[in-house]
Amino acid sequence: MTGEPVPETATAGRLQQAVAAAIVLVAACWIAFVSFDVEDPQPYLFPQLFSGVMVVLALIVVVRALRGVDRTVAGIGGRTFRNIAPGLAVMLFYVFGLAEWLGFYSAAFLAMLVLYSLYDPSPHRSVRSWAVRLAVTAGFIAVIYAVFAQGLKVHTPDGALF
Amino acid sequence: MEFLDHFGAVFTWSSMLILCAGTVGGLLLGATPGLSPTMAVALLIPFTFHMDPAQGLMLLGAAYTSTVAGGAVSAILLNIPGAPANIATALDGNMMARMGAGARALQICFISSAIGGVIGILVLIFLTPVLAAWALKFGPSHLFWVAILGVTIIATLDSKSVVKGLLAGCIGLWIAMIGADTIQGVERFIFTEELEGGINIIAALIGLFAIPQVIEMLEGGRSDPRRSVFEVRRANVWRSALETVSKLKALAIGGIVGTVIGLIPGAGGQIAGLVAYDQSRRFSKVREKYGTGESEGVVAAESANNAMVGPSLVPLLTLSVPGSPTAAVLLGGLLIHGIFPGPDLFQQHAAVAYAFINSMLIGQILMLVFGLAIAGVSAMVIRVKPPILASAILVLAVFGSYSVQHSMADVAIMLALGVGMYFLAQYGFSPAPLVLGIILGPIAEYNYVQGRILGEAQDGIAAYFLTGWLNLLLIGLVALSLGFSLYTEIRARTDTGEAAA
Amino acid sequence: MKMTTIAAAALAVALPAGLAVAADDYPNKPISLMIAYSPGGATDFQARIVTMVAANKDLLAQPIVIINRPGAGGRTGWNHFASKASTDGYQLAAYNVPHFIAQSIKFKVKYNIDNLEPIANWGADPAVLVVNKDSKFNSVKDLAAWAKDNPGKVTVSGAGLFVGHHIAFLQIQNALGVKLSYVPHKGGAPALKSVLGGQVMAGVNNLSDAFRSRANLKILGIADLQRDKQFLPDVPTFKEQGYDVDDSSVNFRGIMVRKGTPQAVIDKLAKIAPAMFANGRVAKQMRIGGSPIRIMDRAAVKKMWAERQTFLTGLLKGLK
Repeated sequence: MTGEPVPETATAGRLQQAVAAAIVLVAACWIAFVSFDVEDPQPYLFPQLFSGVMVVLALIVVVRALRGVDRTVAGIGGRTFRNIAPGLAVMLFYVFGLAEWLGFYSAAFLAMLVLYSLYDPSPHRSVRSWAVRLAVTAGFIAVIYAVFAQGLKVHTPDGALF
Repeated sequence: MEFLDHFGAVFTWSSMLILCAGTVGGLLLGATPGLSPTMAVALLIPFTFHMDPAQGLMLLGAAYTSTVAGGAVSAILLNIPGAPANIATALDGNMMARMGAGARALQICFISSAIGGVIGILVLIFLTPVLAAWALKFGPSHLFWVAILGVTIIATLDSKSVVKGLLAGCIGLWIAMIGADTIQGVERFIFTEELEGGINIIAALIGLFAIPQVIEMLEGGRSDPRRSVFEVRRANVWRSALETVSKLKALAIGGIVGTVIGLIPGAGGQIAGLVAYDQSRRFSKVREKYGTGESEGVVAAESANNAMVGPSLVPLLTLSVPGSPTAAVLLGGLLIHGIFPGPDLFQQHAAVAYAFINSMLIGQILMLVFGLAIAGVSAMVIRVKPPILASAILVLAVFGSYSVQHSMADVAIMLALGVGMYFLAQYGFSPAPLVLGIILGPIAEYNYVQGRILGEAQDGIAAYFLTGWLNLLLIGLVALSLGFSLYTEIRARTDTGEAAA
Repeated sequence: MKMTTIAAAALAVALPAGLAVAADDYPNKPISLMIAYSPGGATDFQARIVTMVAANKDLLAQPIVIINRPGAGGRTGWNHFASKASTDGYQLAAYNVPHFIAQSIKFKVKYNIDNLEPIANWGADPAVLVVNKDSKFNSVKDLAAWAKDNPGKVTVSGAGLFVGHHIAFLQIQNALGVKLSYVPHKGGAPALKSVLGGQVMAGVNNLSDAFRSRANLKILGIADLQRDKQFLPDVPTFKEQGYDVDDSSVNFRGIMVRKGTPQAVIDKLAKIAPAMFANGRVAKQMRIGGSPIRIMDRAAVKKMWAERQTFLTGLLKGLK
């Protein structure tokens, strides 16, 4: 992530950088708008201060992105995005859907198994690789259960299953 | 030297067993993302119900010391700080791990933790009466300036661009202001019900650091050609020890910064590591190497983190005033055993009080022994295949953020922030200044609001914030810090001949 | 032994809770008690003490497990409880009066005294007015006289807005008939620190916390109807000193369930809970922890809730 040497090929294009900066600018403007559009300004003093600073800083970033390509910015290529998309989908579905509906432990088991299998290089057709995946996932969830439920007595939501 | 007389109580079989259990347990809890020292201590208090007071407190003392150091393990190996205190450790520690020096980084981390920790406890033992009164002097205006001093670090912290560093800091400030504010009686930026309770710092920390790690591991897709498994070179303990001790300046800065910040009630020892890291970089000969896997950064951050532990208990033990969230939880642990901290604690309950302090001193050494013992083995974690590691961290992040306050909303916030941070990181934003904003924003605002009320009741707001030697000293430090940042920024630009952004 | 009960607890929790429970065999699995504050705080630590004997055969015969859901001064936890908790008697919550009642008046929250059912009260921590031991004030009268000459200049610390301390402050201000400045803090401990450190001139705080710091403080008055005989027998109430401050700000702590819980279950809990609080081990542990006990049965708590609701509605009406 940060600080990692960026390969030559992975520099985001000017348009992509400008669009990303613009999104930050829009967010900053919106925070500023919410902070200034209030009945009682006193509790909003700090939000007003830093949202103002934010708008200025975001403007600078936009201008810089338009003027020239920043070589330290990797950006996200189409290929990278295609690679991470299934993983992102699993994460979002796990947290926002499964966890409460299915139960914390069964959802964790499913999410881990699916995510692991999706990105595991060993062949999907071999029985052995599935056995390994199941064993690793079950083992890890068992450890999690031992630590959180037994050791720390964390009371997790119980859904349809466990 | 009264504390020496009480060492006997620590060196009994049952006490040593408890200490070892507390230390190992603390290291493991600390290394688990989401389990901060505060939470670890809170979770352990019920276990002390059935022990006698001295042994119960030994368990808590040992666990407190070792969770602080344990948090560095996941920071170094996975770039996921176990607690806010370990953010600075991750900056260089993780780079070392990526270069194959994970085991060495861990050894250095534990050695400097133990050195810092012992400094802190010695300060607690010898200087408590002097410092307690001094710590109490810190009022809202001083804490406000301390927070602003922290803000001046934001721009230069782990960012290739000052503008983006500041912008990340502002995003952090904004995140910190979301939710119901119990001081001003307002609810701000609550767009969905999940946000009412505000954004928990631990949940945010897990999301901002762990989730981008997870996604990054998936970038290569199924075949994963780009990222091979990291190597883990064996490291020699003695050589690591020698290396740590040779960084005298970093150790000294860490020890001093950690002690001072630990003493200030309400400053949040969370920033000790970051401030020490920043100061040590400024005074370093190898300044430009910071952030690229320079062991000096690990030394400064970890010695400061652990030096903070002892002094943070000074106001608690002498005045019954907890100076940090962890100290507040420890107060509960003391009360449950009928021990009221206060000026007469060391007369009334000398045996228990010294058992507690001694156990933390011995705990530092046990922490070092166990830490070094596991350094080589635990470094192997990063040899686990990326798909397994990614899915395991995801599950751990979910359980960790849930268990902070039994809240599904925290899990949702954790993931949302994490995914957002991944995309921001691709465009040159970094999570460290963002988290610093989350930590400092509320300290600055809370103390400003109190200062405003106090100022209005007395001689005006300006007089309250701008007069008095302590205020002026802190303002001077702020100016120095800003000036130094500007100076290095300008010099960097003239050196390279172009805008560094 | 312990591991099996925990495993049983986990199993019981995992089973669908919808099955109708007859009061005869209630409770047949562990019960949870939600605390709207962080672990280690006064409410949390008292709740852990008063429920530690729940598994005794003559009481509930099942353990009570504490679950912390802190946030927004208690609002996060109580909102969750009033909207999502089960009504089978296996999910209890701790209440803090006057906090939750004041919040239900001042803020848009999902709870109020009508959708919650009290079970029993275990403790009462009155607010006290304290000053630093070096302060020029030796009595409430001294403070009132100085404040009269310097309106708004007396700064008083307390924990947050619309909690017991704030309500006591408002009552004291009204009784003294002068303007004082309230400085809210994030919790009672930092509020007390401001008094000890001299940042504020006075403070409203919990009796139990002030008692522990009494060596560095002067405790001027108790905002309750009678003196505290156990901890501070020498400190007079405000009423004794001629100021009209009653017990409306006393921080009552107890157990409640959600409305809709079967009456038979409520009755059973209401019968057992006071006995549980009165247990000898509980009383001893509470005493060494410096926490004042005040056991009240369901009827008494119901009456107290209703009284507070009326009083607080009036007190907070004009307040921004």
